[in-house]
Amino acid sequence: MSQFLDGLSWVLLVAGGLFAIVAAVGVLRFPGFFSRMHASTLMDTMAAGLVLGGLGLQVGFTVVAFKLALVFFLLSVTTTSAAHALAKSALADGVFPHMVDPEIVKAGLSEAVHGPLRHPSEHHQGDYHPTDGKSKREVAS
Amino acid sequence: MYATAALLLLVAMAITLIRALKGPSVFDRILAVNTFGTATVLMISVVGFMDHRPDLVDIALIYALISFTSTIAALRFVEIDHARRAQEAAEAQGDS
Repeated sequence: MSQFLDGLSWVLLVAGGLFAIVAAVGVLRFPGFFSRMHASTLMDTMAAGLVLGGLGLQVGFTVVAFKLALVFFLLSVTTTSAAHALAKSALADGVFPHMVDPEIVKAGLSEAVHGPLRHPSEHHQGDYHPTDGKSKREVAS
Repeated sequence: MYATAALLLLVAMAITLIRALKGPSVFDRILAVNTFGTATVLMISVVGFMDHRPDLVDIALIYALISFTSTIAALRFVEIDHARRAQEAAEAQGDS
């Protein structure tokens, strides 16, 4: 039984490492910002879950296992919040999702995002474009 | 076993760092650093187990929280910077 758990832990750890590499390659190779965000999600869910689960199998029901579960819970909460803030900030800044009809995106956008939207053909993929005075956002000086 | 997982995570961190260096937009960099932070949390846990010191999980916990805070702080910084630049451009347009 102990050997079985050890083997399972080994499999989980190596699978987590492989998923981390897959996520990293996705972050490096995908075109456009939002598809890269989609790739980085793999690191926060699969890689973290598999590696922390593999470590948890090594210690059994102890305080360390509780801490590992706490790490996974905190990662789940914080990475989703960070991804939400990142996507909102990028949309407000005019970074446009790729491979979609811009009219559909404009119709679906909520009022939370006020930045001016540009068609993808107007700039290179994922280029850095500060707002050029057309922003409706106001800031207290 | 732990060394294998640590090595794979190290490779993943290196690849993520390339994206952080390449950009091209500031959001790509923030995204890459965020992913790098998650990989670092896992790395700290694995290295702690490899060293027979599972207490390092506490440090991983703190690192996860600091990573989240720094991401949000960097995002606020970028947003405020852009909003101020947009406001200045609007004021310059109003003058002319």
